[in-house]
Amino acid sequence: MKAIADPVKAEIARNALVSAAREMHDTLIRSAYNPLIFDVKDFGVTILSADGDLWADAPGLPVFVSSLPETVRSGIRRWGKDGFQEGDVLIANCPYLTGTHLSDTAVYMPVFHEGELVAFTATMAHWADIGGMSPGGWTVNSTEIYQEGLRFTNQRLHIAGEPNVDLLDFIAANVRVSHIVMGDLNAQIATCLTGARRIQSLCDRYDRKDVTAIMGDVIGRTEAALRRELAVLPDGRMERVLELDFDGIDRGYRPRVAVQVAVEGDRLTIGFDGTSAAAPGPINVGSAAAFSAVTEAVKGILDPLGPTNEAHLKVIDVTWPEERTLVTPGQPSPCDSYGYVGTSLTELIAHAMTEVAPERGRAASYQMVSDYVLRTKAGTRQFVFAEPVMGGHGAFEGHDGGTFVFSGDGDTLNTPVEVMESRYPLRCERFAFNTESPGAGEFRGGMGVIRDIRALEDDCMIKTALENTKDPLALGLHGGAAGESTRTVLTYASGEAETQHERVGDFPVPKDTVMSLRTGGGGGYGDPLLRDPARVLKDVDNDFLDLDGARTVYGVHLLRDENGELSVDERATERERASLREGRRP
Amino acid sequence: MAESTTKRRLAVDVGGTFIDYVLLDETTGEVVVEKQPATASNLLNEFMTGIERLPVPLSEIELLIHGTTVALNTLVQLRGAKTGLLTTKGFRDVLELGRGGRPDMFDLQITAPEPLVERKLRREIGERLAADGGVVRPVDFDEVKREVDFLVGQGVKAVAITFLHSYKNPKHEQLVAEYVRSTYPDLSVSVSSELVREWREFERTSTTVINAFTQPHFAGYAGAVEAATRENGLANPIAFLRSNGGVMPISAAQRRPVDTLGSGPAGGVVGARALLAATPYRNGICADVGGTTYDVALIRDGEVVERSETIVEGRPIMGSVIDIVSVGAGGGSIASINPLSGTLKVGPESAGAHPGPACFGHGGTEPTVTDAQVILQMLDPDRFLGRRMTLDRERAEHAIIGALGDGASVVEHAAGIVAVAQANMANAIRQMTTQRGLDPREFVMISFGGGGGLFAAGVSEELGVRTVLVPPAAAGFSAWGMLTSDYREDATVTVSVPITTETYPLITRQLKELHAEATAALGGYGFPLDRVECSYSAEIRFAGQEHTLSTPVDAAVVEDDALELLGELPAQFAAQHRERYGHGDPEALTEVVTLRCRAIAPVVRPAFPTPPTVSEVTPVTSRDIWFPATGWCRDVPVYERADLGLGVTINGPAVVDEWTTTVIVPPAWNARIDQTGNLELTFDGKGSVR
Repeated sequence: MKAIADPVKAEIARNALVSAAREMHDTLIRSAYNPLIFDVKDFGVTILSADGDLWADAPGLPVFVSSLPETVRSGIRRWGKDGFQEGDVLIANCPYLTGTHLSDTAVYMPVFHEGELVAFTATMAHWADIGGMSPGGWTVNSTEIYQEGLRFTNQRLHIAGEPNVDLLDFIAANVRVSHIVMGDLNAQIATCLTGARRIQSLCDRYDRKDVTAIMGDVIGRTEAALRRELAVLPDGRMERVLELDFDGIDRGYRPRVAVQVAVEGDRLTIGFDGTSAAAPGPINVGSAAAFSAVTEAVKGILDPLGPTNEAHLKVIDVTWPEERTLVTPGQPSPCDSYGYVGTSLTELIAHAMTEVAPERGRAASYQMVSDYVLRTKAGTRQFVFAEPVMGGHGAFEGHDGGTFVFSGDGDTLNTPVEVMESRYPLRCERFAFNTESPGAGEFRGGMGVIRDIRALEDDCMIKTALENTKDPLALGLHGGAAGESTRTVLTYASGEAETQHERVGDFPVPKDTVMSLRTGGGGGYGDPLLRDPARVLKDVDNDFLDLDGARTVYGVHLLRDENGELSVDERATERERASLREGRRP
Repeated sequence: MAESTTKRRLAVDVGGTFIDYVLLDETTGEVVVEKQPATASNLLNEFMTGIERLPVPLSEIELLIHGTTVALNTLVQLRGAKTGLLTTKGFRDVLELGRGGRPDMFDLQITAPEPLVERKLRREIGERLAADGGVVRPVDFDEVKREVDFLVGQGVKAVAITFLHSYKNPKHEQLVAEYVRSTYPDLSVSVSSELVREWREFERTSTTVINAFTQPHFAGYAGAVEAATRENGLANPIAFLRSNGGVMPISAAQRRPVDTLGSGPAGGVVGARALLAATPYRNGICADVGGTTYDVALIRDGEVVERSETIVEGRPIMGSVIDIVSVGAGGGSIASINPLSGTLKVGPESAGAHPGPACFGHGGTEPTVTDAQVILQMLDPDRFLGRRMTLDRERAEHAIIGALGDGASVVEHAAGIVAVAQANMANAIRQMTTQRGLDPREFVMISFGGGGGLFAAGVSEELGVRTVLVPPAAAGFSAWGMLTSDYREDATVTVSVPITTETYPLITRQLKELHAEATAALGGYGFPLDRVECSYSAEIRFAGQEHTLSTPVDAAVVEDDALELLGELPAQFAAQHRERYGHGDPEALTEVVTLRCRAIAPVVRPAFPTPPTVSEVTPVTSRDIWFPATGWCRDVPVYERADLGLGVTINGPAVVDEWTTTVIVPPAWNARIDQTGNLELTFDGKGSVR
């Protein structure tokens, strides 16, 4: 082969790995059994070097971006690089190794070419069940990891190509809905195999040492480019603090997330001074996933659209607390509801970085939320319906915030009403914008939604995942207001209603109760009194805002003629805005 | 019908810059090609001007098939009608909320496409069906009247109607549609259950709204073309190409323009299918190379591979369409060094037609794939487009060095650009094949579009494909392909039931209804029902899974009441699942989600004129060309395609030129003309290609 310039080989190899990761992604969603995988895309797929460095990923959830490299590295530490055989498949889900919760099970495979270890292919996916005290996981009140389910620490599912039947039987015997779990496990193995075949054919084409050298070079260049981006930013030291409502166990414990972000030259350092000690309840997040949450924010600021590789992890220095905290828990701290702290970290760091990169970030988004409706009573038709319900993103210069996007998450789809109603004894009665949720601003936050679900049969229970209802995460920016937080309104058959500002687990709802989940909005950007009156008019015309809100929040006077057409009363608006500004003075 | 002794068929393909005409004599297979510049403002006049230049008048043409991107352009440029939506109480925001996914998972600054119907014009109707189609709440007609009057008062020209669960029971939608149509006959009305009978309310609403939004404009255009062609002697209604590769008469197209949205690249694919049917090959990769994009589709066992949903600018459209993967790689793709990775990036940005590649000399300064091909002398600057244009090698060189630096020679850079472009093309093909468990080595490549011949052998070699077919007049192949389209109707319905002996009668009954629906549509176009052929399939999954595989259903189930044949479906499906994903338990419970009937009224396939036999062929010129395997090859012979015929084989390296296309025959490949007139390239290197 005639020598061609190196950037060519590098581009071809890198694209081949990205397309291999996409192929893994497709294999997983098309053969999985569990909607958390095929719709919610609560999974990650990656290709890694023989040392566990990230080479390529595909759209899923960003929370796994550093979890998988950390997991594979923990496997290398456990078994040694020469401890793997061709055809081995390994499993790990221990939060102190993988970072997230037990439900997210990593399945990975060493890839050999002509007898030599060249790479790993890895998937991490949310299983329908992992044993443990609460069906389907996301336990709200565990106090020890042992209550949360089966824990794997780099065991072998397949040994040299042969299924390890002992372990597989053991798993099947210890999870609920085992046919679904084993179906998903098969899908994960098929996914790893798919990626492995593509890497082997790449090594057939290029020398395997070249592939490793090329990817090392790509990572080096990406890191250099990211550092150039950092160097362009002004130096700065920022911090953000957020109080959480409750750890699920101890009313006396005050969960607090504190982050420090320092940009100095081409270096970026993250610290967690002031973050609470590890919680008695299950809101701790393993440091591998805490690091993912940090990476998600930093990549979102520095290089949102570029293909991900190890450089996006290497560019960040973290000063980890020495003691056991919310972000550095150890055995036996429970971690099943790790997502609240994870989401908080991403949003707080991205928000902090707007101080040095104002045009790249946005106001903060709503705290993650999901709901479950389930029936587990013996003798009934049992079911578990679970879905994350999206909310509003923060606004940014020139744009209102994104509406109905999963915060801190990725390519997550909701469940269509027609599919939900065909499968479960539920009826959705409303799915609409939550117009009260967005933070006001020159550009307002994105909206959350209202989702009303009626239980059509007896013996149903609900589980909701509310957080940050007292200290909202959705911080505004440059004078924009914070978004409203999520709440649940239960309306019973009698017409009596009850508003919940706190999450509940296995909460019984009689037949014909309507659970109305009203998700939070994003933070606003800029002073609401600077919002273009034409935008305010359009919001009123489309029922996103009423005339009163237009006047009291935005200082815009609108007139409605006899045909219902709206117009801006400019003089009254000027007066109103002046008086509102006046009223703000101390 | 015109009184001509020979039957003639005309295809008119309106593209962005040109209108292509292909006139076919059905008995001899002889083809006449014509071209006319297209401008959006004067399309109809230009359409007719080109027709007037054809050697026969419209009165001698039996069938006119029209391929148009009018509906797609209306959607993409947001020039459609002011549209209102009537939907179930509580759900007017479904259209704007979407499903919540975002593939760019690290992007902090998400913006969604604006909804085609703003919130104020999305009106809710008191009515509700349950998931089984039962009525929970009947239609509140006072509300219907009030809301429709409101929309009319707001000046809407089109109304979309989508109610929950209408795929199960269309009655409520029908009642409201009848009211709107009878009260306001001038309004365009699009009804979800008349367009798709599948579940998932956002996707179905989006499809219905897109139909409503594009309908008035499309119907106006189609009506004007119809009037002008009829006035000039055309005896039969014109037909329109659909996204699924079939055609439909103007009456249907005017009602459902949403079915034409993906028709742009469809002509070439159905043409490739017809072409492949005349060869011994059954599996083909269709590769259409334009200036900006590389479109890939598959033919498997003689049938075009389809998918059930398309997304245009973030807006989903349900319905069977040819599965086409399109990547930003073509002659105009721009090369640059990616600042983040330091690697050489080619596309998806394109220099387009204006300014075009630097070597065109129209002001382009960024290096493109075409510039690289000029440097490597794959293109002859003096023989481009049949000498209609001269390419400027110096500008190409300048652009390449300017953008990529002098760290390597211009030839090395050019070779790199072509290598990356070809790798991107090969990845698009892998996405269609290996990503679905298919081995590209079991396919031949059918290469068309102006740039196809420059890449075909190189991309094939990368994938292990050993045979390439380049049809005659490959640049205008899409229009020829339209002439091979059949009249076709697909009827589908979501049923979502387990496959057990208890459900056999239900499944069979639904299939019979679909059969009646699909054949009635073709009957309505005037086809005798004994000419209509039907096939059936089911979208099946394991109980608990979400994604399905399409499994053929034996026609005897419907036609001979052989219900017991349904018992074979689960095992057939499990085998497919194992083939694709490596696991699949034949004993596990399966569900059928969607049933489908396809009715086809076949058109007569064009005959292929037998190519002449020649005893020898001499090159018209020669030049040095750079190949990756060998570097510079001296004095590579260049042949005119018109000089080739049966009986001679050309050994690579060589070039075969036609006025709109250049075919490269690299070393280790040879080329000959096959029985149907294709240029067939064969890799004769030893062993596996790579």
